[in-house]
Formats: sequence, structure tokens, C-alpha cells
Amino acid sequence: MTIEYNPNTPKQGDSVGEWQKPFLDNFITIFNAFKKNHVSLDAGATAGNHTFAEFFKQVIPIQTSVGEVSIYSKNVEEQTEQLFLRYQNNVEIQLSNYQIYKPENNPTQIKYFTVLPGKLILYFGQFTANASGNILDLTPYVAKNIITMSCCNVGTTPRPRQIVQPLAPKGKIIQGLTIVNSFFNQPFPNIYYMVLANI
Amino acid sequence: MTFNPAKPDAGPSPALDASIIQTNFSQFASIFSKNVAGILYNHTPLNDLNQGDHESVIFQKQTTDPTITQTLDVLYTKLAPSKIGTDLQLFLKIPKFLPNLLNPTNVPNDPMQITYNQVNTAGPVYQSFLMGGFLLYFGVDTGVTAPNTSIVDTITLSPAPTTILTAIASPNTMTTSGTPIPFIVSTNILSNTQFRINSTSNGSGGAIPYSFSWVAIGTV
Repeated sequence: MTIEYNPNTPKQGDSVGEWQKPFLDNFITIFNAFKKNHVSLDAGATAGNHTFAEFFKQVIPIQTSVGEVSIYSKNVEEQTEQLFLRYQNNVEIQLSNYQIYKPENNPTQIKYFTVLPGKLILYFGQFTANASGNILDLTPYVAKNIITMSCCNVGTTPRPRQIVQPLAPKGKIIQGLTIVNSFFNQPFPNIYYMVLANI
Repeated sequence: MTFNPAKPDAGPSPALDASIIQTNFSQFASIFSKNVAGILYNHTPLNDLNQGDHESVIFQKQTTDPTITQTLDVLYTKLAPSKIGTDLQLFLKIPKFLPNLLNPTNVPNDPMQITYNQVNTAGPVYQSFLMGGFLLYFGVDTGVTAPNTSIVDTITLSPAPTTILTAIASPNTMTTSGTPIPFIVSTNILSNTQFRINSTSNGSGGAIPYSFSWVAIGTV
């Protein structure tokens, strides 16, 4: 038999025998529900602290009053539930984005990425152009707008900076950058790079 | 006195459990919102206008990662190693959504470390952290050039990362002889904590102050 919380007990006129079972059920329900995301009520000094804070997907806008900051999760198109922050003036900021992982390197590129609040992705790593092309790959392919890019030659020999241009988008996504030597007859560049983009 | 979910039972008389019931109510209220020296922990107290909201949230160390089967995100803490030691960090786990149409890579929804227990806002080596167990360092390297002498400046990162993944320097100084151009620069990583800024400097031009803005990313 399912035990459920009853907020309407005891009723006026209930005998002790009548409220015994509802009270017991309420305490069991409180105990079990509280255990979901908190150290158990009977756990001593750490009782009440959070264990896993689970944020169920919210589907209506969150209101935040003066003196409050809210954290919640919301579905992000083409992704999954991500964490959001809303300040007391109701400004919403997307805190998390995508799923961070280590992209597979290729012979010309060592790749990493991370994300920043505000639907930003930061690609970084090392790139060595070769004769077959000078395309710096932006995996995962989620960049919709390149905000800024910085690079620097690798090694003990200083070299002039490269010119960088985003590839034409494929279905609104920019999948890479073209790296061009800024000075004629320079060796193909080996560079450290950082690229910041909007997702 | 601890919360007892097994009372009141159907024993001799539930009324005999009145004091246990009262203890349960009392315990629940004091555990739900702990007040220590005037600071509220975990939840806003019952009977408060904002009862049930969160106050200073305390996360208890976990030893396993959660399994996610529903539409929710999970925040929790667990020990995480770094170059300078093992500390509790905040982790985020989200539902698995890859592969999808845009990304065919079958990526597991591994937990993402979202904190590090140090930041340095005093400089000259500034440091913060990025999601995924990365450390972000930045600063400005300055000095005075010497004629026909290259610049070879070593930057030491602190707190120490396990590995430096990328190090970028940009010149803020133009040469003074001939047609002025920005100082030409390169970087090379020397170790897990050091990289070098190399520049042809001002060439044969006179001694001038120089500066390079730099940024580096390493792993915790």
C-alpha cells in the first residue's frame, strides 16, 4: 500500500487511534522525501545538509524577488537541461552549456574546449597548418558566431601573427577558421589558439 | 533526541508517543533550517515568509556520481585531485544528449568539475577557473628592451597546474626603428608551471619599455 503525506490530519474530533496512522504516514513520508536530496533527518550533526541537489526542469519563467537569487534547470534547444541563474532583477543567465569532453585530436590539431556563462564556448589548443589546408577545426560544431580569437606562434623563434578568418557557416554553424600567414614565404604556422564563440 | 519516523506506532496508545511526536516536529524544524551564530544554513525556517527557500547551502561530500534518468541537473561535491592536492569541488552532471544531429560523437555525460578552490585577483599572475577542470591564468609581462637583444621572459604559473595546454602572448609595444610594427612574439611551454615569451624586441632600436599581455590555460 502506498504511503502518502496527508496535510489534513488530524481532523477535529478524531480520536487518538484515528490520527495515529496518518501521523505515522506523514512522518515516514517527510523522512523519505527529505532523504532525497539531504542528509537524513536522523543522521546527527550533518542532518539537513545537501547531498545531491537535483534541479528538475522548469517550464515556466522563474520569478526572483529582491534579496533572492535562484538556480534552476531549463531545457536548451538541441541540447538538454542546463543550469540557469536568475538575479533579483530578473536577469537570467545560462550558467552551464553543452557537455564538456575532450575532442579527438587530429594530425594537425590538439583540441580542447570549455564553456562560459552566457552561452559562450571557448575553444583552445594547438594547431599546425600543413600543405593540404589551413583549417582550424572548431569541434564540437556549435559555434554560431565567432566573437574573438587570439593566437601565438609556438617555439623559441618569434614569428609574425597570422590572419584568421571564419569559414562560411554550414547551416548557421561555423565549423572552423582559416589561418593565413601574414607575411609571404613564412613557414606554415604552428600556433596556440583561443577562440570565443556564441553557441 | 533524533527524528523517529517509526512513531507514533499502533502500540498501547499513540498518546503515549506525544513527546516523541513533539520531538519529531522540533527536530524537523531545527534540521530543516540550522541557525548557527545567526547564520541560516540550508533552508529558510518554517513560519518565515520565505519558508522553504534556500539559505547558505551546505553540500556534504559524496563518494559516487549520480545516475541521471530524468529531466534534471545535479549539483554535488566530491573530492577531486589537482596538482596541488585533493580537495572538495562542486560538480555538475546533466542528462546525456549526445550523439545528436549536430554532433555524432557518442559522448558520455561525465560529471563536470565547475569549481576550483583558489582564485588569484592580486596578480601579477592572475588566476581563475573554467568549467571542466581548467585553470585560466592571465597577466602582463613588462620590462625594458636592450638594443639587438631578444626578449626571453619566463612566466611561472601559480597555483601550479598539472599541464599547461596553451599559452598566448600579445604585444602591446611597437618597434621604434624604421616602420613601427608590433613586437614579434612566440611562446614555448617549458614545464607544467612555466612558459616563455620570446620576442625580437626593438631590434637595433633604442631601449624602450615593453609589455606583453598573456593568457594561459592549464589543467587542475
